[in-house]
Amino acid sequence: MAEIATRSRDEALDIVQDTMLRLASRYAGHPPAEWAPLFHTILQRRIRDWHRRSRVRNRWRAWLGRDSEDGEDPLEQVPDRPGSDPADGVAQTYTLAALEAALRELPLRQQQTFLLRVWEGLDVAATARALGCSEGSIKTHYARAVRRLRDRLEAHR
Amino acid sequence: MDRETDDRLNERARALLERSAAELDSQSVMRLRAARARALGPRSGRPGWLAPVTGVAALVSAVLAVWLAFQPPPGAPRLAVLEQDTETLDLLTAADDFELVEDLEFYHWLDDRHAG
Repeated sequence: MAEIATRSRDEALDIVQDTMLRLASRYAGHPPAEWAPLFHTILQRRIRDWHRRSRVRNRWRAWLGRDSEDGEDPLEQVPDRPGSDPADGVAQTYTLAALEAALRELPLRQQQTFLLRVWEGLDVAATARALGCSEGSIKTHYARAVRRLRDRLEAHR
Repeated sequence: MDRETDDRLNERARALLERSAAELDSQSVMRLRAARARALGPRSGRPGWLAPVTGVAALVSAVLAVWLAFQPPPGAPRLAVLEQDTETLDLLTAADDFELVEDLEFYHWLDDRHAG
């Protein structure tokens, strides 16, 4: 989840390590049933902090005249799946690389909402608590994420 | 839109992501285990909750110390001194330092939500 958000294994491991340290140092005394929700909330906070700092760094780079990434479509870099049957729906044929590329294209909130709901299996209420927003917002983020993923993965076929 | 298609899309996404996590390279697995061990290991003497408080106190002390050091000599033009002090404070209270204060607020909020 952190790696998809940061596009970097090293950054993701640092974020996860930091999250574990904060969870253990502040909330070890809490009931075990609260550890997972607390972990997710702290992790999401660290991811948002990383993104905020990343935006500041990118602004400095742009100001200093360093080239930003070109506008290539990341899904174009994903190799075609050999032997795929056009009759197969996109829902059952896309690859992990295509999925990760499409996820990284999502706005952060939609991306993390989708991952928490689909990968972690959190319900709407738990996802809202982890992300610090309303349940209505989570439903909106989720619906938009699914629609955009479907469109992106379909366009790649 | 087609609910069944979305369900299949989500199911495949979950399966792919689960498999990618299960196939994590050994170096990453070791780093995660080390991080977990570090988090669960013995901590230094000072309780964790004091760290942000002392951090904020240290920040305030540093700001006061520099403020005092930049106090104008007798007779210095007032406007120039005010501009210099404001600029200095801007540098000292940059975004990175305020993260500490924002973190403190976040953890107070999280503590309130999980209290009792």
